[in-house]
Amino acid sequence: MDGNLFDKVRIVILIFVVSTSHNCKAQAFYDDSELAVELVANYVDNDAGFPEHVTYVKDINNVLNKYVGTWKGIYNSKNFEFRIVKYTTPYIDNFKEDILLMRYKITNGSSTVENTLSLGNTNNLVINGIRMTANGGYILYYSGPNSNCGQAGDIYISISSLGSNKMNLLFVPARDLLNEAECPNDINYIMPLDPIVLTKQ
Amino acid sequence: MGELKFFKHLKYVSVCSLLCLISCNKEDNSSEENFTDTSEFVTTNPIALDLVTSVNSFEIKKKDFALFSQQASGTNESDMSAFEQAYGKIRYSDLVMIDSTNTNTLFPLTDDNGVVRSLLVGYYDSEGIIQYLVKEIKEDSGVEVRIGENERMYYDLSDKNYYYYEIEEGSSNESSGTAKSHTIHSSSSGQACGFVYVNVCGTAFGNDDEPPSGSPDWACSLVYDGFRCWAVGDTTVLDAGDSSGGGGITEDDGDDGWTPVGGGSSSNCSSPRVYDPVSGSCILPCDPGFENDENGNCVKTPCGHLDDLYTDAQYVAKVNQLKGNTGLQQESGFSQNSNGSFTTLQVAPNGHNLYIPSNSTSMIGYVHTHLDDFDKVNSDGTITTNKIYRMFSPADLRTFLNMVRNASANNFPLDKIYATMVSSSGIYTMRFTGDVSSINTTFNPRDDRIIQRFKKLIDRFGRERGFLKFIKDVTNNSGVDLAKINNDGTIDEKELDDQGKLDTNPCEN
Repeated sequence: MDGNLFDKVRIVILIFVVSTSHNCKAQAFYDDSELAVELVANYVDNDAGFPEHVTYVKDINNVLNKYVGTWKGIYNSKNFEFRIVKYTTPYIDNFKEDILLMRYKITNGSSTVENTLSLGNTNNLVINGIRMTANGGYILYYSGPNSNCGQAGDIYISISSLGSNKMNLLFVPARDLLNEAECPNDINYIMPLDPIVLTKQ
Repeated sequence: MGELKFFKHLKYVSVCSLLCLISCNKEDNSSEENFTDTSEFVTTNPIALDLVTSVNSFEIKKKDFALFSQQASGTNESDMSAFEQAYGKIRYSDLVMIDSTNTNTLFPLTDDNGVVRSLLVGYYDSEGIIQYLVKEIKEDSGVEVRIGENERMYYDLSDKNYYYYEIEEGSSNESSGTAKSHTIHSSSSGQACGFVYVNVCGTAFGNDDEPPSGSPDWACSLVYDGFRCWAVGDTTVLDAGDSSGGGGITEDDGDDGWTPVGGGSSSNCSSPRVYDPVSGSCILPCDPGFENDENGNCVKTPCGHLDDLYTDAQYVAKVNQLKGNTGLQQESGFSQNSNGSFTTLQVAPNGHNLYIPSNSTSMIGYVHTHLDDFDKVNSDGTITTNKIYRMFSPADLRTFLNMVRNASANNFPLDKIYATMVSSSGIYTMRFTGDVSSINTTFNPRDDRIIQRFKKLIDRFGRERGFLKFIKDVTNNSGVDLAKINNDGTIDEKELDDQGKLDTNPCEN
């Protein structure tokens, strides 16, 4: 009997502690200048713009972590290696955000097609993250060495339905206007022009 | 006590703003040689001397304000305090405005927050005794004090400057455009237009009421401030003193007070021109869709030009054709040549971009699509939706600006140059009304950093406001007008206001 009473008291105390810590956690995370990365699509997809007070799009719930790591795959006999890290941008236009940065190395047999693995965060050959999509995918923007003549476009990544160690990658080339006089010749796209799947290393 | 307060407050000078004002108008001053050296206005003005016991290059001491306080409200400190409460204190007395004849002087009176509440005006009465008037500021725009038959002083609340000017009655040469003197021409008895001069004097004092050693702390400059018009309005004068003065100030009676807008007369304009009190010149009345240029002639407004474009049958046909292409996965479009003909834009060899033809120097416009979102199938069978920004892209902007520059180089009218984007989210057009020489096209429109900032601005602020911010803040361009044609055929002009918010102005049909 005494033992049961002790257990009940202990349960009550436990519930109180859990409830209190939960409240503290909820309060600590509330900051209306921050917007969770997974909520961005809600505002972008209907062209509403972010709430005016938002100055930091933050990976509050670490939803970007699933993309962080080294991913490899093969397309048209070329080996693709992508290294993805999470990065907080400096304040630009009074705004910063947590994004993914993607570096890559493309080899064809023993020859290297392109290697950006050692480039710094602000190098424009390092692929910059744009935002998460509504279904948990992620959009990045790629501009290659010949971007002025169209070697650029969006890269969509998403964790594959085949498992968390597989990632879909889709490159959509830019479709905007090009000056014929500046770019009279064809360009060589080095990103895969078809969807590919990558494996986490 | 009150005197001491005034004395302490004498130290504050907006030296920075003073120097800025003077330097900003340096060029104008140089053309007005007669008015560049105005230090004598201060040192010889007897009213300034009445308030200041001694004046030399580096020292100004203020006399007691017995005369002022007696004239205004009384002689003791409590009266003085009541006066200050009612009208404000001389807080920036170093910004003394003095007219060219050295007979009239203005001092701003401010509240504790530095907001100008009233103007204290010193002048001679008919017996040659210095008198003071207080004029309370009630208008939103500013207050004007009539300081003589043809002389006015004005404090402008918007730019916080003081203006002195004279009026030459009866002259109809108000738009001659040359500043021969500080004379103000008047087009009729009810209004005046002319060249405004600001006489700014200032000094700097430390806390001990002494100037920093070795610095020329007292200086005045008569600054040319451009051509302005003033029309009869409704001003109220709170006169705390005798207004029977002779050669100096005459009291406003409310009927001949002056405010800076309104009124007008066409008596001096030849028909069909009418007098425009805002510009101070004779202008032609314009139909809707037109506005007056600097010569008063009617020219098309930006809306008028857009209306021309959107009612051009050939152009409308191309737009309608492209409306059906937004569901494709390849953009399409046409360029328009200066002879009016349209040419289909070709897909570049890379199979994705649209080519602007290399002989584009004769191009005056282009119209093209931005696509609907479209789906792609991933390797695992899931769908990825390709998200499209249905607004002009950085490449579209750069193409447009190059087109404007080419048109200018070939002496083609810039108001004919346009770029149009057709999408399921709206049809947008760019036109150019800025300075061609300031166009910047040095940005790579597909550079990683440019695109990231472009997309982020669109994401954060929406496509219209985000794009306008991109033009202004990222590419450092101005003069690009953005308009949207709505589904019902109406046209809205889109622009950023002073706070960077989106302003939508419907064009009137």
